Order: sequence, then structure tokens, then C-alpha cells
Amino acid sequence: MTKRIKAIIALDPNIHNEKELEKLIDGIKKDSNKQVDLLVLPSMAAAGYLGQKTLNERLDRYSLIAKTNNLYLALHAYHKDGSKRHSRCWLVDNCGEILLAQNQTHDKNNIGISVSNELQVAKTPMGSIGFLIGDDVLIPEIGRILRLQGANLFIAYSFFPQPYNPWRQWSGIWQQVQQNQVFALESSFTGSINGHAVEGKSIIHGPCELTQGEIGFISEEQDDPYIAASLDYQKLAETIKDYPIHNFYNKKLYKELFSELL
Amino acid sequence: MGKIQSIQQQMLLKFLLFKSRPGRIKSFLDSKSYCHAEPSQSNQVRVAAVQGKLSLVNNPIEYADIMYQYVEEAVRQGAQLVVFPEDNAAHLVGMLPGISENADMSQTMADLGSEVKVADIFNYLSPVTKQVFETVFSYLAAHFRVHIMAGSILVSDGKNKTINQAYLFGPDGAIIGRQQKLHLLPLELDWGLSCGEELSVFPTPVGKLAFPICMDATYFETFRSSVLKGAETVIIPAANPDKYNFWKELRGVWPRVQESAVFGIRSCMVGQLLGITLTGRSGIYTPLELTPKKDGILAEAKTYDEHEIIVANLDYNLLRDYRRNEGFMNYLNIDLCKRYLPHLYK
Repeated sequence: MTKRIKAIIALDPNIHNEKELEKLIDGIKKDSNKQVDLLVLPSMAAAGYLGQKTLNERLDRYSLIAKTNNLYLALHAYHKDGSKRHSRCWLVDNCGEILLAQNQTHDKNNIGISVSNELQVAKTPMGSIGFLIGDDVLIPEIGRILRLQGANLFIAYSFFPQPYNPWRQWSGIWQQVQQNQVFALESSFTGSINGHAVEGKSIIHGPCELTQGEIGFISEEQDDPYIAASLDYQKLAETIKDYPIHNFYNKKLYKELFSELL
Repeated sequence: MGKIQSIQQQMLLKFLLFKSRPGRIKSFLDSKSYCHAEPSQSNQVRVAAVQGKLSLVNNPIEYADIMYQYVEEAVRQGAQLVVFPEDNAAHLVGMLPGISENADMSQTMADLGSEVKVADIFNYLSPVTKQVFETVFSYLAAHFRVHIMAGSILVSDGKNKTINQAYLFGPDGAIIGRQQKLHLLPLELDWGLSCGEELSVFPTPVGKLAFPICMDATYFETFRSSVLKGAETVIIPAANPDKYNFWKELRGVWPRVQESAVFGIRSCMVGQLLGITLTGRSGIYTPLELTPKKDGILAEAKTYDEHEIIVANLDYNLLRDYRRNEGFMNYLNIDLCKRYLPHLYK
């Protein structure tokens, strides 16, 4: 795995065509003056962008963009598959291959999506990556399962009801990052989704010990079209070594919890 | 250890036990006045979290007096349940000759020899600590007629292990239950402490209470287990050996309360212990939706390094209504959890 990667979360939810997306990528490359490794596109990207009619056509276009620009892409969309409605994420590698397709696993707010009973982690040169989607960001079991499967980078798509409440958002990915000692790229959607007004801030997270002021935020949404951060896995490993939360699991207690109580 | 040294140690322990005899402590506490906590009659309970400032004492009477003042202040503010921090008898380490507040831990340990661990000191003092602690809190609970979660103390488990154990006293002065710390800090492992493996929930007139300790709140599993065993309030006695940072403290009780829909009370020890600085802001927490500002905070200490007592009312009917609609068991994907857990924990 690469020791340090450059990750970007694009913020503009109105990238409607390939030209605009290419322009964004060019802008990012110029600004950062070096290779971008991983780009997280705003939610709904795979559903409505690029003008193609079917989901597969759209995914093909994103694969080509990833390959052309030599970067990893993360995408999210709500889409229908027969009678079932899914909230799904994809991770596309820099060769244009889809490495991971993950469905949301919880439907706390009963929006009628079909949930998955499977959580996968993709081991890549960008880190070992797992997705948390929608309500999953509020479920601590999800972060833990991903972490126990080796994830050290969470990519999250969050949707918080308006009005914006920072406390609500902090109770999601921020705390999942702290209790699992991973990095996270959280793309939080603002707008209307499934008829509900939602509002959140896109944030790049890390364990408190790795961030300035020990606040757990590496980069936060401002007025720019994207947020960027270098994720240093060497430093993450040092933080874990100094404060090894995972060495102190109480397995007997957890066996009772997940085998008998639940 | 030489024979003479062993005799010296035994004599010192006997002397300390004599100095800490229950009759002497009770006689002192008899001289105090007591108001009574209102019995809990409804689903509303007033709770207090004591943010205690640690100071070493060389006399158990001093310790009894400090604890008396804390409980008295809390009960006067209407508390029916009073909660204390972790390591709430560390004050008594000052009874050992040569130990002072500003003593450097590493130097103290070096003076004692490389084979001695911090746990050995607490283990040695354990009979004294236990005697003073149980006498004081049993007496105070009975005379104020209040429930007291007295915080935790480092004691011997009787099998040559040193454990961090918290105590709950009822208003008749009896011990309702004990809880061992379930997750250690790396520092505590270095000290030679051992952790427990069982979590208990105690139904009382002031709520169904669990009281795991400090680091246990770092792990969501602790709160999930507590709630699934029936807890409505999870109390966390804490003693954080780190400089204060709002965000680092936020990753303890507060998110656990949000995840598991439960009341949370954190009581912090602050001050100095053997060159280690303890900081923390005590707080009383609830799910976001049950607070006017939607921040989940019912009460929180203003300082992180001074003595304070904070109080708040817990409305169990509100919590139960909230859980009916929003509790995690309404939406948790149990099939998914059981597919991966517990076997992924290695």
C-alpha cells in the first residue's frame, strides 16, 4: 500500500456532463500540482450525470474517466434493480475496473430501500477501503465490521435532515473514525433527496491525534469546489501504536453481546 | 524480600488498618449533620455527577470529610443518585510514607526497585483502601438516604490480581453491586492491572443502572451490552491522564449515548496523582432529540481541572418513548451483525 495518498472530495452536486467533470479534474490537478489518487464524487453522481441512459452506460463512462485520468473514483446513487430500490456505492480503480459495489445496510428512516447483509473491503494501493452509506454512518457495528476486515479508509455518503445540526453529524462518521482509528472521506449531500430536505458538510476525517488541534477533522467543506487532504498511513500506524484501542477488545463480553443478547 | 523488610511491611499495614478502623471513621461522620434525599417516586430522577479534585491525604478522616462534603452538596441540590469518578480512593495513597502529590511516578517506582509495579502498591494498600472506601460510602448513603455510585478503586481481587472496581451503594448503606473495568488503558496494563469480563445492570428505584469504567466508553460494545441487558442509564466514572481536549473527550460517553439511546453520566477525577495530571469535564447526556438545543447535553461542568458538582433530571418516560420510535433495535440489521460478529474479533 502507498504510504501517503492525495484524496479529494468534489462538492458541486451539479456536474451534469462529462466536460464539467473533466474541467473539475483538470482544476484539481492544477491546484494540487500533482497526481490526485482518489476522487470521491458527490452523491447521485452515477444516477444522473453524463447524460447516458442506463446505469451501466454511466458506470462505463466513469470507468473511462478513471482510467484516462489515472485515479480511483468513488460514486453513489439510488437506483432501481427490478422491483428493488438500492442505495449503492462503487469504487472504480485507475484501470477503470469496478473493485467494489456496496449497498446500504440499514434503512433507519424507512425510505424503502433494499438493504444488504454484506459488507466488503477492497484492498487497494490507496488503502483498504470500505463504504458507509446513508443511515450506516450512525451504526457503530458497520465501522467496526469494516475495521475488523482490515479497512483503514472509510468512504461515507451521509444524508442528514435539515436544519443542519453539527452534533448530529459528529455522532456519525467522526466518531466511527475515532473508535476505529481510520481515515474517512465523508461526502455529505445538501439538497433534496427522496422528497426530503437534507444538509451536511463534506469532511475528511482522521483520528484526533493526527489532526491539527486534535479535532479529528483534516479538511472541511468551505467555499471551494472540492476539499483535499494527504492521508499519511505511516502516521496513522504510529498513532495506533501509541494508543492501540484494538489490542484491548474484550472478546468474552462481545461474544455474549453478539451471540446471546442480540 | 528480606525477613525484616517483610515484617516492616506487615507492621505498616496493620498500623494503617488500625488508623482506618471503621469505628474511628463512623465516629467522625457521626458528628456531621445530614439532610435526606427525596425518595424516587416517579420516572423522574435527579442525578448529580461529582467532579472531584484529587488531593492526597495522610489520614482517612480527611478523606471521609471530603466525600461527606461532596455528597452533602449534591443532596442539597436535590440529587437522588450521586455519582463519583474513577480512582476515587487514590487520595489514600498519601497514607504511605514518602508519597506526595508532586512525587514523580517514574522516580517513585525506580526508588522501589524494578520488580515493583504500580499495581503492587495499590494491591498492598488494598485492605486499607477497601475498608475506608466501603465504610465512608456505606455510611454516607445510609445517612443521606441516597443512592451513590461511589466511583472505582484499585483493589485486589483476592487472587493476587489488581482490578479497577466500581461500587453502587443503596440508601440503606448496603452495596447493591460492583463492576470491574472491562477495557484497560495501555498505561494500566503497564501498571500490572487486570480487567473484568462481565457487565452487570442493576435495577434500582433511581433507574436501571450500569457503571462500566472510563476506557470502557471508548468501545460502543459496552453501551450496546448495557442497553440490551436493560440499562437506561450508563454511568462512567473517569480519570483521564491526559491534557484536556474537547474533541478527545467527545469520543467517549457522548457518542455512545447517541448510538445506543440511553442516558449517560460521566464523573471525572481532576488534579494530580504522582506526577500525572488528570483532566476532564463531567457531563450528563441524553439522545440529541431529547434536549432543547439538540446537542444531547443535559448538564456539563464548566471546568476541566476544578471541583464541580453538576445536576440534571432524567425523565425515563421520555427516554422510553424515544426508544420505542428511535431505539437501535428498531432498525439494527441483526442478520448482518451476526454474520460478522463476534468471530471477527481476533
